[in-house]
Amino acid sequence: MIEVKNITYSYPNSDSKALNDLSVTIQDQQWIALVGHNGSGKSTIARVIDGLVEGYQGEVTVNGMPLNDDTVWDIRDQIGFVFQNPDNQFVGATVQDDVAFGLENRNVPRPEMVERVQQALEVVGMSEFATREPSSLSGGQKQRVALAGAIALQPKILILDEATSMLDPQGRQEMLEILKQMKQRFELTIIMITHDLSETAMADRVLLMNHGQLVADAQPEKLFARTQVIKDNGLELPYSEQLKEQLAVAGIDLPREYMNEDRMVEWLWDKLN
Amino acid sequence: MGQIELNNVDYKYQPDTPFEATALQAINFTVETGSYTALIGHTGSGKSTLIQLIDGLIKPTSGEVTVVDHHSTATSNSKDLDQLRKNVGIVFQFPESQLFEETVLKDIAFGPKNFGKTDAEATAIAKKSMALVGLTEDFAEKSPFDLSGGQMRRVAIAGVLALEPEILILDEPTAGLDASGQAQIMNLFKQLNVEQGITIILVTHNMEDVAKYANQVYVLNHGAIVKSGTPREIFANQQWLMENYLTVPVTTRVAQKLIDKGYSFDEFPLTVAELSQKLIPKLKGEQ
Amino acid sequence: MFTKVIFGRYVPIDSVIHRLDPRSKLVLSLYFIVLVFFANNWQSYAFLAATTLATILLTKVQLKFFWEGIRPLIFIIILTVLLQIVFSAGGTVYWHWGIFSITSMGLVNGVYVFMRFFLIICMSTVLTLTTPPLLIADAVESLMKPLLKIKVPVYEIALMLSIALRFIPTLMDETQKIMNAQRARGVNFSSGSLIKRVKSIVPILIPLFISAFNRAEDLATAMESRGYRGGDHRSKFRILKWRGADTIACVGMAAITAGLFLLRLL
Ligand SMILES: Nc1ncnc2c1ncn2[C@@H]1O[C@H](COP(=O)(O)OP(=O)(O)OP(=O)(O)O)[C@@H](O)[C@H]1O
Ligand SMILES: Nc1ncnc2c1ncn2[C@@H]1O[C@H](COP(=O)(O)OP(=O)(O)OP(=O)(O)O)[C@@H](O)[C@H]1O
Ligand SMILES: [Mg+2]
Ligand SMILES: [Mg+2]
Repeated sequence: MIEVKNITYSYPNSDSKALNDLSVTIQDQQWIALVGHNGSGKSTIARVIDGLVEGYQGEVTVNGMPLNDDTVWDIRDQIGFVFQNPDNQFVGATVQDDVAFGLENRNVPRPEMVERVQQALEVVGMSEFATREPSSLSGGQKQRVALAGAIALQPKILILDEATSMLDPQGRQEMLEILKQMKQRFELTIIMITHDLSETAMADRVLLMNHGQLVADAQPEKLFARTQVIKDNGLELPYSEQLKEQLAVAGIDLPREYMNEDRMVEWLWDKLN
Repeated sequence: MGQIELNNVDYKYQPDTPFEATALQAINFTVETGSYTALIGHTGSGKSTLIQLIDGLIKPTSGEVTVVDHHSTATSNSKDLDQLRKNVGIVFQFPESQLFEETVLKDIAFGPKNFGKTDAEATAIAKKSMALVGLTEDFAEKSPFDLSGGQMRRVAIAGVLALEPEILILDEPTAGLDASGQAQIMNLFKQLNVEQGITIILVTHNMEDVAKYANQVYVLNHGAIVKSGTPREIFANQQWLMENYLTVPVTTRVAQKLIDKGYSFDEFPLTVAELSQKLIPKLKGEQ
Repeated sequence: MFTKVIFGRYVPIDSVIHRLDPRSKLVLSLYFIVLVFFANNWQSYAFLAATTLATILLTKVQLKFFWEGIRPLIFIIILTVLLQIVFSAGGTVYWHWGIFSITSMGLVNGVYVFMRFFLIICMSTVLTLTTPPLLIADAVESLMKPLLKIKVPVYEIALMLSIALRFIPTLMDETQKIMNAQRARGVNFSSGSLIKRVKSIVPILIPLFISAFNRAEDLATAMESRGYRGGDHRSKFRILKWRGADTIACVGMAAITAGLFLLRLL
């Protein structure tokens, strides 16, 4: 469980608040989607949870451990973090070296390390690339390697900061599939930051941020129905809501609640007959 | 003869070495003045290589590239290539990485000065470009490095627009921006295309944008052009797109689901607006 | 993503030489460079040239690459050789002008100097063409280990070295991108006066510096989030293995040394 209590934070060289009295509790094995426009504070709160930011007010507790200088390394042991730009998170000069980096840091004995590296690469489907140099991989492949590096540490929590934003649609789809499987298999808590509302559909909860504050915290379907909130916070409406909006203008009666794509098609088909 | 013409063009990276990589082969590509062309294809299919050829940043290994009335071939020298560049502006992926001047205005005026404009002329053009991308005057004297990501992107785009190009090439111009930022910038490009007749070539992975803005599409797969046509022609065959590692706009997917149920459209819809236009009379008629 | 510089760069193929332990390759190439200075007659140079050629053939890399590796240095070599020829005296005088002269001794010396350069470059090229940079870093770390005793931060140095090596292609790629972006904005790197050309570097250097700085910051964050705290409480994934072939290589080098010193006596 992650508990964030009344966090306020400003970057040292800035006078506006990147986080403003933010509180949120995340239960084990939840899939959280974190959304909000550019500069709303998504990356900052993710970094706070991983102990990568110093000098904030408030409290963070991860699995019962309060985050402070003594516990930060133990807490990081439980969190895997994948960043946006795959090129800037590679440490190793080959795929397997990179996946091993976190294990080396934790002084894992070599035989176990070799096994865990292999396993992690298998999970993300990159086994055959083990000895390749990262510069010879596509963006999607690099992100899968970064994911393997995080998963090799057997974390309880996985944080992804726009980890799919530099990928093509196929690469994104593959990442999401892998994440779904991994969540099942390793009973992970996932916090996924994204700009793409369609990626939030598989989450248990969507947290919507603006100006360093939480403006909505709801199940995806519930949030999608609140079209005004979505628009006011600079996000794009989900497809079926866009369509509903257009139909409503023409004076057609529409159900209030959110419909996903298939339900929308059903509804249209019923009406058309 | 189009404004841009590629004739049987091949391109190899590091030819005659063990690292040789064929990025493009037998490319035939035509873009008419004032058109809006989308270039789509999987990662590594050769999109960025193709636009670099058009801007004379690289020259073909064989074949000929023609832009307006300048040519580049395997034997062209750098003078010839410079000529190509005169009519073309490129917004690269993450263009904010090209910013370097002390102030926003100076950075935007940098391009026109290089192409021979006087300081006064360049400043005037820079101010105009700032207005175009929606940056107010008080940004002029700020350092480009003190701005937010979205603002930096605008400055970079203004720097390209200041070249007053006849042809504007965009390589995933909205990557990393939030929805409202993306919409604003894409609308700006459409406006330039419609109002000033600027030819646009858009490289993108976003099929919604292709459906919404383009009037011509080229599909690349492993360095070859495998299909070209209007968005409607391209998106008509979902199966084929999947085989080429591409997706369809959501509207097309929804329309296809309706067709599968037994509905029929006189013309395949590509955007929300088109779909609702087609459905509204029917939905109303039934009510 | 890809570098333009390919000559002297690792060629990923398989050969006896590729499979040697990087430590033996590093030490033996350095040793060979020293050895070259002991050659003193045409027989000993010919002998070393033959062993070098044999090694090159064993790498299975195209000869063209060795030539390309040497080419950038050829100007310096020729200059040195010419100086050697016109300034050394002794033996028959073929040509004479002021303090300059071409003598038989001078010619011979010139050829020797040329051979020395040539052999040294060939052997270092063998090292870099057959060993990934990362392994060279590993070898340096392993060989520097004794320095831990005098508190040299060997592990940190080695990690720094390998990260630097890993970022070279990324930064070269970045440079290419920035150059393209500025060329598209009308910067011309290849013509104009010297001052103009020097000035044209500014729009490259500033963005490159900013980008490198941002990348470094991102990388530091990523490393921290992956539990890196420095020091030696780390296990190692990559281990170097000394094999039979390495012992054979060392014995071979001993034989070459013996041969060379015999030929010196001629
Ligand atoms: N290193 C920094 N120094 C100063 N200010 C910063 C820094 N990083 C972020 N900020 C500011 O803090 C606020 C929150 O930024 P944050 O990066 O958390 O936003 P975000 O929601 O992740 O945005 P994006 O979608 O662009 O990634 C913004 O106003 C931003 O300008
Ligand atoms: N500098 C280079 N040296 C060698 N090969 C390269 C270089 N740049 C690109 N390539 C290769 O050329 C091919 C085409 O690359 P290109 O960058 O044009 O693809 P792209 O369609 O723009 O991909 P993306 O969608 O990822 O941007 C790829 O196989 C790539 O690996
Ligand atoms: Mg962020
Ligand atoms: Mg590209």
